[in-house]
Amino acid sequence: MRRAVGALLRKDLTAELRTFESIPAMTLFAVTTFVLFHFGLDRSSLEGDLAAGVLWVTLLFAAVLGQNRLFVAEEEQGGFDGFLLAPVDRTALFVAKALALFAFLVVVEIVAVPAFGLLLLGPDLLDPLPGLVLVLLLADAGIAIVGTLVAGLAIRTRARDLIAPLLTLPLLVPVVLAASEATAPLLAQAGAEGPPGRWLAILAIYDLTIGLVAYGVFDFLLED
Amino acid sequence: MQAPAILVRDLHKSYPSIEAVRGIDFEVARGEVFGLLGPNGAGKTTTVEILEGYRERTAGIVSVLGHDPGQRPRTLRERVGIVLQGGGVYRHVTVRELLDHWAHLYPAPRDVDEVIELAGLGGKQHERTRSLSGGQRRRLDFALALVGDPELIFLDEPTTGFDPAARRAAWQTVRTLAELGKTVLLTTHYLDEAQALCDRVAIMKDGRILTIGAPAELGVGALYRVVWRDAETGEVQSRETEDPTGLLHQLTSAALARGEPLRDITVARPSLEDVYLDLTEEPSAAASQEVRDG
Ligand SMILES: Nc1ncnc2c1ncn2[C@@H]1O[C@H](COP(=O)(O)OP(=O)(O)OP(=O)(O)O)[C@@H](O)[C@H]1O
Ligand SMILES: [Mg+2]
Repeated sequence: MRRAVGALLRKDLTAELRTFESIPAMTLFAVTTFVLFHFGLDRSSLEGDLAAGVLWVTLLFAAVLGQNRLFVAEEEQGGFDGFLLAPVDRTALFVAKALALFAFLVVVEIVAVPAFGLLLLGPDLLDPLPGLVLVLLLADAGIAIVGTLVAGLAIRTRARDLIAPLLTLPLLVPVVLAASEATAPLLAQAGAEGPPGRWLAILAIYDLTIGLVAYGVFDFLLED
Repeated sequence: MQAPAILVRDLHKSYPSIEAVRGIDFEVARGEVFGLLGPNGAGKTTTVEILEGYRERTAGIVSVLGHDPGQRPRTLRERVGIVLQGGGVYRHVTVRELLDHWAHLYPAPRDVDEVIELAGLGGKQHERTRSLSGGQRRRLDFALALVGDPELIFLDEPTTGFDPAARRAAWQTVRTLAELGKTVLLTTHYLDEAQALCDRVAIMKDGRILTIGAPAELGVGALYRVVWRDAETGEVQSRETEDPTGLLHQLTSAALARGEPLRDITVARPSLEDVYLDLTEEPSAAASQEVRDG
């Protein structure tokens, strides 16, 4: 299982490095959205609740963009067929894809979050950074799991580009909610406090639950 | 006596529009190279895909290495190698990376260098797979079937699209596999390939097996065909006989008596190709053949 996950992940990261199919598009989308908010809200500095909301909704949509391409190579280049006949569980495929999406999100955020700090955020980004990184990682895990699960479900359908976001967004409402609540105090003008433990716990519990569910059902998803 | 590697009993497969396999029976012994022959649409690929576990059967009994491939048990997947026509070939990785990738999914893979060598892809191992030519792509499919070091290998038209040298090389690889004690089930449209590689072949048509046997023995029991050029009319004559000795004696004595040479004489037992064409010929094609001959 480990070897299979490692091989799949390496293959996906290699392909992304060569094609730049997902990460640049996701990053560009996030940064452009921040620019649009900058002008659309007609405010050069946000803080607190509003800042957290803008950040998370933007990151969520960027994730949906990456999610859509996650299984396209498997579907179009016969990876699924090979997989069906190879002696590995399809859960290995799920784990590898979720890790790939997680990695994509982290890379996107390395660019997008500083851009957010420059373009929109009033308070300084540096102080609350450790707390923010914690929230980002927990939320990314949830987004990666749900995104991968839904992408796997949608890939065999005709309108996958439509179905994937339609299913993903509602499933991720708890993540956006908890992540925004956890982020808001970090971005407050009054000076950063630590992220509230309650919301971090909720994020962690959501990740764990949805992770177990996805792990359990993924094997059935790809049956013909 | 070891159980056969493959056992098929009264296998049926219906697609919505057609019954592609209509009750076939055969066995493949361990270590045997077995060929499925037959015209387009005979049901070869369907049969192979059922044995691979890629397709579900409609009825019948199938056992592959003692397992039901329909269940796709993991132990079976570890021991079987498959040529998926183009499946699993990611476009943006190199030949070597691709083979390395799939090798990691098997518990005891064959050395990737060796696979590259066996498939004749040495010069191309650092090229992206999408830049390969058609024949090279087929070689890669072949390489993918070997990478898990399986004991049973399915090869559906393994050399279609290969150039003549590559075909010979692929034959050599199949022979090497056979020497290593692997079982091979292949389909092919090249009768010389079947003749060169297969211990036994089955000729299929319209979802049924018409005959099974060693390529050299399929024609056995059939009549000898003696062909010669008639000295008077100059036309080619042929006759089928159980005993060519008597007929040849007649022909040669007559020629000697006339003092003329006997031209273009051949005596042949039907080759695999003759048997194949005989069995699979469409009625209309057979009729026109008759007209030409007569
Ligand atoms: N997925 C499918 N759905 C419906 N019919 C199919 C399908 N696959 C094959 N068939 C039909 O089943 C019959 C047998 O096809 P099959 O591919 O097994 O033939 P084959 O012997 O491999 O032929 P070829 O020599 O052309 O490869 C054909 O009539 C084909 O049209
Ligand atoms: Mg075929």
